[in-house]
Amino acid sequence: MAFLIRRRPRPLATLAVAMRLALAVLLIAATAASAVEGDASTLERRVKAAFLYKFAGYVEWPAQAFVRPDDPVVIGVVGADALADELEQVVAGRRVGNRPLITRRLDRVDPAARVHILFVGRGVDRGQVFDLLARMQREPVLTVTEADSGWLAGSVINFVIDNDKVRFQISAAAAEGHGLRLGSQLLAVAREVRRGSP
Amino acid sequence: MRGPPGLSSVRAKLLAGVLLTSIAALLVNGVALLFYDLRGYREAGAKDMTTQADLIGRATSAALQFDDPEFAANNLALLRVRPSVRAAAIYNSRGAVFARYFRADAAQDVLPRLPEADSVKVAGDRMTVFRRVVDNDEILGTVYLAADFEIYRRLADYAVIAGSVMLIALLVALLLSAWLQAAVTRPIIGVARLARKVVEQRDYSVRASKSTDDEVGVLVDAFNDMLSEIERRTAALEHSKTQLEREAAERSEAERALRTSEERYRSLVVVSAQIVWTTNADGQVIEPLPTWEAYTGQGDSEIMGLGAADAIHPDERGQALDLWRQAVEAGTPYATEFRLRRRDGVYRWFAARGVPVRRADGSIKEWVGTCTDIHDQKIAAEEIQRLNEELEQRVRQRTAQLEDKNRELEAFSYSVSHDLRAPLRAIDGFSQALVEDFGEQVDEEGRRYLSRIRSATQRMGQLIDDLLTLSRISRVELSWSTVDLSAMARQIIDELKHCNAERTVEVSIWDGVLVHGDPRLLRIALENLLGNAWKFTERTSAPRVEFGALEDQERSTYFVRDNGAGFDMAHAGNLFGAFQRLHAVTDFPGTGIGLATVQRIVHRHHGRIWANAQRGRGATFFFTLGEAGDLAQAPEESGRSASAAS
Repeated sequence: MAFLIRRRPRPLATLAVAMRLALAVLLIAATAASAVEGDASTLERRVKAAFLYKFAGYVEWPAQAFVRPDDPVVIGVVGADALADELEQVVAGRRVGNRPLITRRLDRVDPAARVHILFVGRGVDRGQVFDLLARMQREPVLTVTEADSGWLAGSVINFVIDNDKVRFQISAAAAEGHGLRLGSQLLAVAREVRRGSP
Repeated sequence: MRGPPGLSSVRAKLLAGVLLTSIAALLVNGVALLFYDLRGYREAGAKDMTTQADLIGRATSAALQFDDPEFAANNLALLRVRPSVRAAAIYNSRGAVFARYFRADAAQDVLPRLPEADSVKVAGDRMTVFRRVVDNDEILGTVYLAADFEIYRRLADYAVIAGSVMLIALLVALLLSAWLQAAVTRPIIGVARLARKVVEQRDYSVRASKSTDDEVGVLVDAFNDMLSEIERRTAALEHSKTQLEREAAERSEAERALRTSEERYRSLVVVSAQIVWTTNADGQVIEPLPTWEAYTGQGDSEIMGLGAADAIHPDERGQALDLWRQAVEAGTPYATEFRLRRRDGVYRWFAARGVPVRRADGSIKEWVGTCTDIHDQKIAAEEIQRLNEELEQRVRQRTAQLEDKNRELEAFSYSVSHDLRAPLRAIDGFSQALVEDFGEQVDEEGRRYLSRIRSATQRMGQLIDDLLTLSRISRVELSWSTVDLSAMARQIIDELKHCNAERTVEVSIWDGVLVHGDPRLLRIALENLLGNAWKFTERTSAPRVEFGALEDQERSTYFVRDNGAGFDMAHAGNLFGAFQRLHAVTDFPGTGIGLATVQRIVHRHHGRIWANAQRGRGATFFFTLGEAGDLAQAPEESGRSASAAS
């Protein structure tokens, strides 16, 4: 089955990375200056991108999810292009253990897409979310959603807004279904942990 | 117990010693323990707090990452079970306080405004700890803990315990020392009393009684031994004193005798014409030398050390001192000659002699020597030397003049001989032409005359040739090389045999006679000597000719021997003169120049030639070849070869 992966060309040169970092700093500074409180959604997106990266440190994938010890952790993003942009900046040059992190924007999702974390944004409509998560049900993928629909559809982690802060719910049962082990500390800071079948 | 004065102080010292030792040991012990314990206490506290901070950091890393201060605060609240912790805080990665905790009684404590790097600090009764929370190589935040550190209370506890222990220990030490004292001091007091008695009464026969086997017992023994020793020494002293007095009397008698003999010797030295000197073993003058000073006019102080040598003439002084130093160093007799300055400034020659005087063990005690005036002999000897040299010079001049004359003479005879040959050849040639061309026109008698003319001219030609050889030999430059005389002699004999095939001569030539000389001249000499031997054995029944060499220690003597006609030794003096013949020409033909030539050749080789003969019993000619002529190789008797000519 054919699938499309929209992928930005990755500059390898350190100089390019540094330039991009500088640009990001400028952007952040500009954003902070222009819309400190105005654009709450920008802040929310940034926090979610940071959380997505941090989740990788608390998840233990089954052995078959990677071929080599230094294979990258691939974070697939569907229906959230702005967040994908943010995420790309966050993971640039970062590692989880020995593994680098890679962001992939996906139009459609397929079990063969080989992602380790899949973020399904609000850009994907309800019906499709169910479809998507159902297809990834037995894959070693940490599914993350940001809407009740996703939570209902059985995602492992679902972002919620609590007291103007980004928090998350965790379904231990869903994690088990994907063959993932979640760190107890992650569970400890979750707003809600659901055990048993959804 | 009232002991003699002084002993009470021994007791006090013993007591003080025991107490001070105990106190010192306890103090050192207590302080060491205190420091060790405090250090351990601090380290254990620091480690405990660091571990606690690490645990908190680990438990709250997720809270920091996912920005959950409530969870972090709940975690910190668990510190309630650690009452020593007064305050705690977690700072986020930007340095802001993320969560905090205060003990109920410490709510007014102030948290540091900013976190610090990992550290443990103790200030007063507080210990503060900062620990970074690191996850995946990223600093997530910092944990801060502040706890009570009760070091002063601990110190106070220590002081109380240490004081009590010390007090009890001192008490025990006091009791023990009091008991020990009695055991130690009693025997000492006994010895002390006895010692006082000995000193006061000078009675060395008393003895202390020994009650224990410890050091005090040893002391008693030593004291008793000392008393015995003193008793014995006193007796020995008495004895040696009387002996010493006797010896002193004997010695003073001997010294008096020695002084007399020394004075006698000194007077002798002063009156003697010779200069007598003495030095110490190092060759330095250390006492006045009356005769030296009387002669040279130097004072006592001037001659000390090597100062006496100043009176020696500067030309000989250096050498005289060098020889003196060598003699002193080697311990060998000293002998030299030098000019010595008389007190009026006149230098006279002296012969100095010195010998070492040795002690019984062979080491040098001092040096004694004399200086004898040899000025007149020396001057006389020098005069003789000068005259001798003059004489030699004159002899050399005369010899040179003589040699010049000889050379002129030889040149003259050479040219004369040369000029004589031309007319002689004409006479001989024309005589021969007469015989050949007009022989038939001349009668028998005429032919005989012609033959007589020819033989006479030929003899004269031979004579002239020999004369030329003789004079040439005197003039020619010698060309030196190694010559095998044995081989040369064999060649000559072969030629003689060839010319006289009818003769049978027994020839014996020694092998390996090697010399250094002019081969051409030596050949002429050997030709003459062997030719003579060959010639003069013509009428002998069993002719024998021998050539060989005799080895002396220094040089070789070569000889040619035959058993031919020989000659009368009365005529031996004329043997080597030119034209001297000892035999009639009719008996043995010859020009009479051969031996003169041989002698000339031998002389040119700086050798000597002589002969030994007896009429009718053969002759032996000996010759040497000077130093340059002999080679080291000695002819070997065993290598002697004999060959008989047929």
